[in-house]
Amino acid sequence: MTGRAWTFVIDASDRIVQVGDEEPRGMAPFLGHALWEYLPHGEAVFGLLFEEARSAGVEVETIVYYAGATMNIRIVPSGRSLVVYATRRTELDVRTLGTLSASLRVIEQELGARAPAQPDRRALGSRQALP
Amino acid sequence: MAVAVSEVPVLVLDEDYRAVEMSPAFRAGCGLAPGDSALEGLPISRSTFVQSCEHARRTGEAVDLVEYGAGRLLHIRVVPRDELLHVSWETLGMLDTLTLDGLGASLRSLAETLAGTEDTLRRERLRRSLRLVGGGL
Repeated sequence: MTGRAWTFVIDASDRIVQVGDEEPRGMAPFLGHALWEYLPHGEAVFGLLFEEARSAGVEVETIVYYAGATMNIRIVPSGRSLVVYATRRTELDVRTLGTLSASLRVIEQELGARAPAQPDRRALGSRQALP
Repeated sequence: MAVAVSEVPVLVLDEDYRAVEMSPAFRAGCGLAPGDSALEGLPISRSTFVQSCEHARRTGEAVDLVEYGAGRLLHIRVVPRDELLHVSWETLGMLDTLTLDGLGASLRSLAETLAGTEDTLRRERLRRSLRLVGGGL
């Protein structure tokens, strides 16, 4: 399920310097703070994408999994800053083993479709771990 | 101020599955109040829970079940006492949904816990059956 996009801007040190009007609840108080305070463990998920956008100076768009959902991420370099557009797509449905398995299957497909040459096997590994 | 709750949550139900009383730990972890139906908002399958409760009532013996629900693996124990059921819940593990690595690790951990707990419950059931058989001879 595609959700609403939200936007924020980070500086060269990954500090949040601007938050869009559609920001999810709670991001505004983190203005001036490192993005990773708002997105714990997010550096492992988003850090390389930010580096890629910065070093190549080009827009990067992909799908990642973070905080219980797949997210469409578009990163646009702007001077020394990065403008990040994020949209939640498929939520992990943890209610029952059935809903968990079904949502993991969709998430696996979405992550697999983003880069056919190097599919992320972690989603598949997660589903295979189901009892 | 948050209060640390270390005791196992216990809920006492009447024959209509209405909450008669509950421990502070249970009250802290759910929105139930005395008089409310416990069948609303169960984290596990309603039919599984009701079947287990009916079995406990019928046999007069405690029933243990390990079920996944709402991102948690729960050990639920239903103990019949007089006309009431004493239900305790223990969280054996939780899903970590923050990152794929955390999700994969927590799923594997839940699967291992489930397998280990099922073995323990199977052994316990066997032990109880042997005791019953032994007592009947």
